[in-house]
Amino acid sequence: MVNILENKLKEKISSLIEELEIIIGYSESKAPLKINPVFIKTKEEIDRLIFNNLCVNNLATYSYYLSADTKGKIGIILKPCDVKSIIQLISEELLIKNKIKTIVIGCNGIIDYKKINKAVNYQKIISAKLDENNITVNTIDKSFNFKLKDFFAQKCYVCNIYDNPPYYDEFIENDLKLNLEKKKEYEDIEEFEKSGLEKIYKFWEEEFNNCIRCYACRNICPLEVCRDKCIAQLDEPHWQSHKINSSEGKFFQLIRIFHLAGRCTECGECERVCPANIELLKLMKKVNQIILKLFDYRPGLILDMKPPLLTFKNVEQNIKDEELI
Amino acid sequence: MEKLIYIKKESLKNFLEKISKDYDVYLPIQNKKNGIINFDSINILNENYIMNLKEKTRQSLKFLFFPPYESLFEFEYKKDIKNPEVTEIALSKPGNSNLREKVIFGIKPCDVRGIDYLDLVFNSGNNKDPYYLNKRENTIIISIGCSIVYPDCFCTSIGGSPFNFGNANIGLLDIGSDLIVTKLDESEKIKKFIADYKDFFEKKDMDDETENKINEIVLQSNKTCSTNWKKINPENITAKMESTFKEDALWQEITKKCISCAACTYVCPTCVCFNIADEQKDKKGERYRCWDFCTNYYYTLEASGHNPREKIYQRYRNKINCKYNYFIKRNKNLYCVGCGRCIDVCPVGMDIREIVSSIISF
Repeated sequence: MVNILENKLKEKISSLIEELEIIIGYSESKAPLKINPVFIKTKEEIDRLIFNNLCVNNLATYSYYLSADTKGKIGIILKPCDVKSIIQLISEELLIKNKIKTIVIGCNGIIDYKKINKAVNYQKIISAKLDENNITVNTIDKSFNFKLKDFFAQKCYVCNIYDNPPYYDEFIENDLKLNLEKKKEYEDIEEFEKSGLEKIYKFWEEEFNNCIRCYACRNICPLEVCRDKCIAQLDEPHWQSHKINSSEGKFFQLIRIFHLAGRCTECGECERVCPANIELLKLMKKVNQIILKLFDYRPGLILDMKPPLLTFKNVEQNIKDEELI
Repeated sequence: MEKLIYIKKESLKNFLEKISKDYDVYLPIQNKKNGIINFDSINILNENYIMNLKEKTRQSLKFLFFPPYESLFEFEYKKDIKNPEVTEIALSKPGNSNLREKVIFGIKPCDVRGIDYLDLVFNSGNNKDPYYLNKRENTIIISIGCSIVYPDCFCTSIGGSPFNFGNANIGLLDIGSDLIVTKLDESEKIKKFIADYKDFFEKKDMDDETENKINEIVLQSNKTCSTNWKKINPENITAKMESTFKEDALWQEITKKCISCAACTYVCPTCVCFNIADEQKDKKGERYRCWDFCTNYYYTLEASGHNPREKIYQRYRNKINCKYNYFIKRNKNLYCVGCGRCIDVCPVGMDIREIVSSIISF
């Protein structure tokens, strides 16, 4: 089944490659359960393209910088949820719509590497094999067999655009459909908050003890196009201390979440790439939950809508003056 | 017949607890909540933090000797009201917070090599870094060879080996039931150490079975590791790096997916770049240093606003050249230990082996 989809993808790309300067897609990786972003320019390279449940990376990350470096049009292979990042960038006027050709593939869910890593007791994964419903994972001295449906990324459980992307130039339908028991949006955040402020604070205290301020979270984010102009690294003015420790890590993350409030499309890349395994998506989701409540707005769904934090109304429906004091 | 010294695995826990009475003991400790293994004090061991000698730590050993952030000194501006035109500056150095000797147990040979290279940077000739040496001196390094080699290990490709203990004080080989001492340095310090804990170091004659076992493990590890990458010749590689330096298109091609974060450099055992900053509040302030990374835009940004390494490929080219060219010219060694941590943490699957291979085959 997967091969049929990949063939459809390759055919589509063959028909488009002439008009595009470069195409960003997924290719095989030597590392188990991982894929590599690949940049192709010629017909001969098309065979390197793959698409399967391991194609986690949100390739929209490359759109902003690559579009500044190229004269022609860029093709990007995206999952329906990744398109949200492109929509958001266009609606914020950070990307020019005509520079990007979005080639969207219907998705039947993506695998969360960290979930699998946890299930094998954090032993190093040596090799893995994936088929339609199962996944076999080998560590140095043990082999594990898992059902695929237990290891999808958090976002898949609330996804309702997997075969219906909010925007695309080309859409490649996937015969396999996402078949998961849906969860309520922000259910996990509400559950987490029940533990009370004290416990929540302790949780973040411990999480950020491991933060080394590597900025992988910032640099992988498709919306943080400001990575080379970041106030966290400026010397003059010295807005934030450059010390690498837990409290500065937390402070940097606070800047990030406010910066992404009402912009974050919850692709989960920041959490995926964190070498300290910090659960960053929780923070992002919390802020988005507030934005949803205040402005009835979900980032990355409507192309020509002005994001609420980029504009203002004289009277906001959901913000009461007395609550602001 | 050759005498064999070994530590019984069942008495390892007691051994470590015993030495922790006289030394600060650091071990690879795994946080069971998020799976991350790092070197940490034996004192934090509990049901959530367990010793893990099998896999590599996420952070290399440099974390202990060259921490991500350290205070260099504190200062305070002082003025006398009777003599207002004179400002005095009082300096205070951070004290030696810890005078106890350290034992670091369970280091992989690649990390031992990493420390050897850090010594070349922070402790060679006249270049002595007191902050580093303060932590580095009085340390006993007990290394365990790699009976298990993982797919991202490649120490054999760049002149190391899973059982090359370098400057470690004691080298151990895990044969399942026991840890065999295969390297013991001749210093008085170590002689005393062995004598102090002689109850744990048992002795017996080497028998054929054990000898075969040892040979088999060493052979197997070397074999597995050498299949992970080809052998790199330091001399050839510098010439190749020089000849490809101006091939911008090549460097652009192989670094296209890099997002220029610090994950690879911060987990690297040999990356030692740091930044120095003063931070002051009112009359008091601190000068500190913290890690910096060459793949970041600000690393070479000049005060004028000009940036000689504006693009990611230029910065990444510097990173590779630092490890596979410049350092070799100065110290005859590759500045990479083959631990594979950079491959493991990279968010976008950059593999230093593939990068260097494509330069070699250019």
